[in-house]
Amino acid sequence: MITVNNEDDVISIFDAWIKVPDELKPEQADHYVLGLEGNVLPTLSASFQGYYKHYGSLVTYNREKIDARDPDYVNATGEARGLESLIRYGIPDLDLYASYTLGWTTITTNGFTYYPRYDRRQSLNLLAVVHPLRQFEISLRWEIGSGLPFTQTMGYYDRLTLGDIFRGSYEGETGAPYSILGAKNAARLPAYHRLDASATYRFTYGRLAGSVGVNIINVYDHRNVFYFDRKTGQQIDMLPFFPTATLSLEY
Amino acid sequence: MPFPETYSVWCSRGHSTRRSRRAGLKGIARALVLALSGAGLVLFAGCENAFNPKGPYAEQLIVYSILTTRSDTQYVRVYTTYNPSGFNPLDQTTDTYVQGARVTVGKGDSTYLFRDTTIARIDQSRYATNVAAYVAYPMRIARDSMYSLQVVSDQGSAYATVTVPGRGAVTANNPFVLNDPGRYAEDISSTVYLSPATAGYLLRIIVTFEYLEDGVWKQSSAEVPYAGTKEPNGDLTLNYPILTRRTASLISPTETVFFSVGAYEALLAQLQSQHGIIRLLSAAYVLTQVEQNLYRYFNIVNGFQDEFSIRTDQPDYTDVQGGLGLFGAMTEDSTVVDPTKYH
Repeated sequence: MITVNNEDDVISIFDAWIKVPDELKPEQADHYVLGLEGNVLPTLSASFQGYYKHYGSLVTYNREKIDARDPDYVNATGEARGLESLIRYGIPDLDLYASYTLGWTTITTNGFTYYPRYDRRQSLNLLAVVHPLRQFEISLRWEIGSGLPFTQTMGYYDRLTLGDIFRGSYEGETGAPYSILGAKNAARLPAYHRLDASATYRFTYGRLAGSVGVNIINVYDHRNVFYFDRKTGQQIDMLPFFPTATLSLEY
Repeated sequence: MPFPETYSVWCSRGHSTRRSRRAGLKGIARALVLALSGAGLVLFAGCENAFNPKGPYAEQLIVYSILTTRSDTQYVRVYTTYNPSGFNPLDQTTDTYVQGARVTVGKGDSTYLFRDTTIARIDQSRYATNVAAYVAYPMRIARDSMYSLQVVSDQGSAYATVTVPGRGAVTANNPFVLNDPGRYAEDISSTVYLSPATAGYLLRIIVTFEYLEDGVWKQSSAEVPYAGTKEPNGDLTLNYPILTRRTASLISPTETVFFSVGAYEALLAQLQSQHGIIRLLSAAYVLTQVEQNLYRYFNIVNGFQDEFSIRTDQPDYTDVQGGLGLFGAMTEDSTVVDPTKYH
């Protein structure tokens, strides 16, 4: 299966999937992973991995397509390499997690190499879970990811379609506005980051068990870009500061 | 984008009494909340700039010229890119034409200097002014020749070259079908001869006919469709020829083109319902040849002319160095036959 999004969208709002066209090779990759994992101290564990992936067959837009005789998609190759790490510190009533990834991904098609839209250079996740009381849990989760690639708009021009050239003339045509794009995926979206917090108290009352909690998504109300329409400038953000309260009962 | 610097500190190690441990955990929680909230506030204060997908803008020249043998008047349009403050390019309501440019088209030792002119704008809904352009007259285009275009202006310079296709030819293989299509089961067939510089071609058949109006015979003409598509409601949609990629080799530079006789009959039925009795007078087989720059550009800006493509991107193509646009060329050759003379 492959996605059929417009690769020139700033951000794709959803992914449409189709099966790999019959005339193309299925996607294939070789993975090489080297990892180290263990307890450094009784309360401290760590995991480190390095990886290299060679994508011998990917399916991408045919950048050389000219007319209906040319296929929409062609096979390409790619590479991904990076590091992943996870550190966990745990003592009674407190757990701390920190994960960090660093990676590079490239795709090469028809001799042209670029960063695909999901090439995130770095990401960091921090999670703290604390139990001040036996039934009471507070958790904080903060994540940050460096910006994903996109292609900048460098200006506009009125592109002539020459629709009447063979049966009339083109000289009086105004043309349609066309966005001039910069180097493919050479710019980066703003970094994504968010802090979530929650507090939950669990209780029992006879045969009744339950919990009451407060959750806050995006504690400091950061505007993370969810969608951006290059043609209108419309920006839609992900969830803003969003508090919720929960009550659950079991019997 | 590098990570913003953030710092967080926490403590609490070793054993403790239950009371002091609880106090220590509260301290940890407080420290965590403070540290992460502090980091968040730093980020909140420092990285809340509105996202803008625009890169640095640099004005570029846009140049369009398509040399043609159809006329001895040749045009060059020169204008620039633009960059409205917002994101809607339609906010640009002033044409960005370039005046005072030195525009030349050369072939070998001869150079044509183009002069200013204006052309009636087809659609004035966006720009109220006519199209400012450059013109050369008389300038008859030589086939099978290379031309170079040079534009020098205060806004920059641009350069491009093109090779004009050579002479083509078209042969009507069965023009009698046009005269009495109901009598024959075969499609309308033609053979085209393509020049070496031709990347794509378009073959059209134009029939000239006369019809009776108020007791007087009047002449008109119509293009012959190459196919018909039956719609779900039973209507027949007539399809007209489109620019087609050359498949003929350089060694055997001919291709056979077929027009559906059924689609032609449908056209005749339309004409008869519109005009009553019609009499066919002649048929012109018009072959348009385009070189590779025009062929590539035309297809790419028109959705690859691929109705089955699932691509939604809009790639661009230009052969203009120092700018954008197109310098292309096309030629026309035709054969006129009288279908009534063939049986």
